[in-house]
Amino acid sequence: MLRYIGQRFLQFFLIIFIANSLTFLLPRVIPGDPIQEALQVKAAAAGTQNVDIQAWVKSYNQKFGLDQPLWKQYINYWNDLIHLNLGYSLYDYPATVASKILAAIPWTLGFMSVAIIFAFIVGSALGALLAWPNSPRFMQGLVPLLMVISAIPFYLFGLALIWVFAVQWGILPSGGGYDPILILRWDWKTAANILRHAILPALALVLFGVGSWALSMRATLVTVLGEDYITFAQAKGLPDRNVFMRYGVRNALLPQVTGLAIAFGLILGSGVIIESIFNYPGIGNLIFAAISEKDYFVINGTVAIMVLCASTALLIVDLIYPLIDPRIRYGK
Amino acid sequence: MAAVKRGLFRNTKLNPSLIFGAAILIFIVAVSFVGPVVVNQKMARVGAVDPNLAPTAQNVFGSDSQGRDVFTTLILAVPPTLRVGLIAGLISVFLGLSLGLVAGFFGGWADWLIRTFSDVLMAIPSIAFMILVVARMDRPNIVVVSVVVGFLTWSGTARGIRSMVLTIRERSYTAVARANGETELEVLFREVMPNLLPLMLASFIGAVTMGIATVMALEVLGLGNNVIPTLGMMIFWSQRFSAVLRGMWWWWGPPIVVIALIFIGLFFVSFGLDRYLNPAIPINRARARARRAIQPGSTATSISRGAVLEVKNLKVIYETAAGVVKAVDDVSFALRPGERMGLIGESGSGKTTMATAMMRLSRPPAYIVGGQVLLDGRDLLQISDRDVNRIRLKDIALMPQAAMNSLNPVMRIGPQITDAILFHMGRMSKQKLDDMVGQALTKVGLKPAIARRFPHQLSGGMKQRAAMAIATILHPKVIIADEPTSALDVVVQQQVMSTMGRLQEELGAAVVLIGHDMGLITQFSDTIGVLYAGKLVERGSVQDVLANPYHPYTRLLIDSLPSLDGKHALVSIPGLPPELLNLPSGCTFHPRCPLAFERCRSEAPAVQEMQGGRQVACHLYPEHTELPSMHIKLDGVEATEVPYA
Amino acid sequence: MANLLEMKNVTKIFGGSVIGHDDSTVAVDNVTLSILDDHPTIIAIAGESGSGKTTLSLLMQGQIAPTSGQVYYRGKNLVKMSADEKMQLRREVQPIFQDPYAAYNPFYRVDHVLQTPIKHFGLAKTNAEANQRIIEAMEMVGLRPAETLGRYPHQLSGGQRQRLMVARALLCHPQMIMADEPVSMVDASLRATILASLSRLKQDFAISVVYITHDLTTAYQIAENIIIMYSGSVVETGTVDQVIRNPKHPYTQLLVASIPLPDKSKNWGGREAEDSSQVARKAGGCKFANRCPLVMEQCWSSKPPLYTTDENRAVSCFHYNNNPVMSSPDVSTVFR
Repeated sequence: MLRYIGQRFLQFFLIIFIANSLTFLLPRVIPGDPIQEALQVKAAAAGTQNVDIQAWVKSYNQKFGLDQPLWKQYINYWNDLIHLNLGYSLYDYPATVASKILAAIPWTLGFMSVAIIFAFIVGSALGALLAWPNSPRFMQGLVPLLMVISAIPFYLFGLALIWVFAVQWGILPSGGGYDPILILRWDWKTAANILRHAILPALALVLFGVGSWALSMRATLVTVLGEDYITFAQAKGLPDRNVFMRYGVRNALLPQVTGLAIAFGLILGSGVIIESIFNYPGIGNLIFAAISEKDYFVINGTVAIMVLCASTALLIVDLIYPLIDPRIRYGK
Repeated sequence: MAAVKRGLFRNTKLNPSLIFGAAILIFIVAVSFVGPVVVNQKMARVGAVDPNLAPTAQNVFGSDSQGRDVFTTLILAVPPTLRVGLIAGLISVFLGLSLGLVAGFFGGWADWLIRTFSDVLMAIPSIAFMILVVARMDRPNIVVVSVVVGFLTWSGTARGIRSMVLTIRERSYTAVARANGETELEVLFREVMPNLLPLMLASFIGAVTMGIATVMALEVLGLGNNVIPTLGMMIFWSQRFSAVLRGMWWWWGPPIVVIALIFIGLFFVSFGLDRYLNPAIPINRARARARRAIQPGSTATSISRGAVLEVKNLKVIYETAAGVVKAVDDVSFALRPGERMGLIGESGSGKTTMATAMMRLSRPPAYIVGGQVLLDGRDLLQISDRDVNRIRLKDIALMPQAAMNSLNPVMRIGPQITDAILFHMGRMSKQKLDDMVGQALTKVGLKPAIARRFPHQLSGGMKQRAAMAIATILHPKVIIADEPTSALDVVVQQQVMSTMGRLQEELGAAVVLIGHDMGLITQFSDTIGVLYAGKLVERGSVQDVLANPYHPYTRLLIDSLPSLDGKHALVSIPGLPPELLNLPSGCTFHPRCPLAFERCRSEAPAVQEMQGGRQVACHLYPEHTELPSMHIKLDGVEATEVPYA
Repeated sequence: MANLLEMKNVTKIFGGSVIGHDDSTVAVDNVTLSILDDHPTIIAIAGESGSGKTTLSLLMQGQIAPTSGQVYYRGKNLVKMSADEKMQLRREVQPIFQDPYAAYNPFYRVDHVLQTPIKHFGLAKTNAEANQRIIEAMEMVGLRPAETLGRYPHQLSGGQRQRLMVARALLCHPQMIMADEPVSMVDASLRATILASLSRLKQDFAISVVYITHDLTTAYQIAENIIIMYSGSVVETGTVDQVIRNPKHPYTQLLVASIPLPDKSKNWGGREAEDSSQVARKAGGCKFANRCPLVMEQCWSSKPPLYTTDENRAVSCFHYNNNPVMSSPDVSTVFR
């Protein structure tokens, strides 16, 4: 058991090491100077075309230690990372990347986690119903529909949802995290406003999520229901419903829960496009803005956080799985 | 036996998902070839037409805010999008296949390295990494981007290939190939690779999907090439000019439809392929769920005198893709209280089908289509589901082959016993419940503490004993034991059967022991029934049948058993075992029967009562009073005797 | 008399000790035996699952290397063979497997397994000669080429598939056949033909057969000599008439008594305890001590050597310590 835990941690650190080394290296091996590009964008935005870009670049390079040898930069990079110092925004200097990410993260976590949990519960329940031999026949007609939903990239739903709810019917806002004129306070009005803005992006995710959770639940459950222990449970006289819940759904939920944990691990990355489409003030929009501003340090920091989040989730899955599946706990 | 089933129930038809998906993809690919030739490509340039035109009859999709004709742009956007998927897919599958093959086939440190690296890749969100790479490119080259996507997504393919190679390596045909003189490389390319084709195709489709989705996501985020129109760029442009909010549905709508079609096509193709790779998922559940009406043949539920259980004219069929198989055909027998009946049959005889049918547990593709199972004046096949649940375990219990998977792997043994008690006996105190479980376990030779263990912590013999504890806990009148010890070693088998014999005597239950081992059946049982191709061909007391079998099949079966009394010529039954899909006419045994005559070929023999309460289904009777001696034809080809040392 | 195959003090240990955690299993424990070149014989190696019988056969074929000890084929150490010698070994020691379905690649027709050895070992000059050889081999095992060739594996019965495997092995002109449970997955009524073709390999072609099995009745019928293994060690060895008809080791006695024979007059049932009463005592001596009904104090501390109890039998049990210890560790010296 200790060996198992040790292996998982080793793998975790290996992932972190490789991923962050890549994050460090990639921008440096691709030709071009990110600082110069970013400053050009900034200068163009400010309308100050005549500024001496080269001098500006040089002072920035000095400021960020980019004029030092590569190995020293690499050590500095790890040193900063360990202290969770992700550097400064090039575009909004002297705003730090960490402060930008911290401001954006609650938005993403808020609407994404609600969407994920909701989709998981509804989808798994739906999948279980689809696999239940006694469920009404028309439910089988849902299967192709769910397949279609889970096949289409979900951000496309976002566009369709804006079109229907915001443009045609005008009942929900088309984007943003809250009304621009609203002053954020800890009150019901703010909460209701934020909620109204979160509905459409969350709905796009939920639609897609329900489809894929339902399909995976159905597939696992159908396999489980074919196992010998189901037949034996029925032979004990247990009513179908009882066998289905205690022996079928319960066993089929194990892989679903793993999937849920992984979905949470990818929570920061998977909403990127939907946030940018809805102009939602989360991580996705942060990275979307950083791309157009060529704010490379922000991109870099955000990606690092995403990798950290995903690999931590994987580690947690590996560590909790023995608790929910006794076969691994007592296996060798 | 598994081998026979694999061959028999293999689904060879193209499934509808695959056809549907492939049809969509073929259409899209055709458009990508024909479209660019047909349309006027200049119409897709910026400023080629007036901007923001709503669709008209002449111009079906109107134009965008930069003066491109939307229809032309859409047609031209399809090929580059598909090309992205193709490049990413090919690279990903090539890498995944070669690395997966190396990892699975050579193992060792290469395997470790590849596995660790793919774990790392899988843990890194590929979209995040692509953003990192592409954000640094000034004008992203679509080919380069798809190559990078290919490099980032091989790990799934590699894992799939690796585990499949490991499965194939366990199959002895790779060892046979080595014994045939093939080198490792030949084994890899001639034996392993061909069997990976379906998986490779599925992986390719998966990688194509992944590639298109990733590049499209990048484009929607603004990390695309502004010059080449692709489906993703069309979405990005329409977003940048707020096409949705401005009500320009003709701009963003059509690309969405085309994108959706591509992904739906890919999804259904991969779903269809998955059906071949994982055939556990029922092919046609809608049809499978339809319950069959059972023709009881008779409405009388009175049981034969002195019988505890009576099976009358039981018929079970399998509906397979290749046709309907009669697995159990018109089987009748009665069981006295406390009788130990052995039901012997070889593969394809329908013995396990019988066991599940007698409990009314047949599952698609098996259907009970006729007959009665009478217990206590009730027909088990006609009463309601609720009533049958109350009877199961309490009056008639199944003892499965527990060494397989009959116990829920994620539940402790205790709850798997108590849930049955609670259902049948209602609520009771925890103390009383624990006592019952403890007693039941002690009776089968296990310690009460076993209740807190999980099934995989028990040995095969212990699992079998646990299953026995469950089956006997409510003192049933009838126990159906389906090959209970066939996976156990001979010493443990003897011990488990001894325990079962003692329990049977204590409970006074009647037992139907189903199996293929004549020795085990005769040692345990008082009476024996012989199944051949779904029919009960002979029945009588064990002593009588062994000493003086009536049916030629029974005789040959007994003669084929090796004994320890002395070395003698062993006999094989000539000919081939029956093909259930294509049963011989008349008596199903006639092609292999040394005593077959004209009537056997045309007319199926009915079951006849013989002396001493015995039964046989054979045309030799009643003309004969006992089985004539047989001479197995030694035609020089069919070797039938072992010339012993 | 030259040895065709020789095993000297062979031990195979699977797994290994990782710091503070020993998960190794001794699959084969110090076995010495030899198979003679000019005296074809059928040797049965019998035991329960986990007794090491399959590992022993893999060691004999050079499929796995011993942890200690040596395996020689025609006097050459298997682990030191050149590529050519390995190829010769491969051709001359032919395996037959348990599952006659898994032995066929589902991608090919069954002809594939017959044509491959001819091609690789250069057994025929022309196609006609190759076909002739295939037909001869098939007829030897009692198969009609017309109803077998050109089919896919699932179109044949289990018995046909396994006999075809024997034909395949025969095609290679082997010196020795390693048959690992060749009939355990075949219906009882079809076993005899397979066993018959194995017997004919010895009688008509002077090929030695190693018959690995858990089933003592078939071993008794086709083999001359038998080795009973328990937990990697040889517990009893000798002729089948001695060992199976009149077993001396308590384990062999238990094995033979547990065989369910189709004869009601044979006493079979009775012993039912085992599972809950496992003696937890660590056996440093005889491996069977914790299951042995006749266990003595010394069995726990020291390992019994093989005692030559009869002319054609040796038993590894202290109950027979009034007999001489085997002069040579080679268990096959008691064979007839």
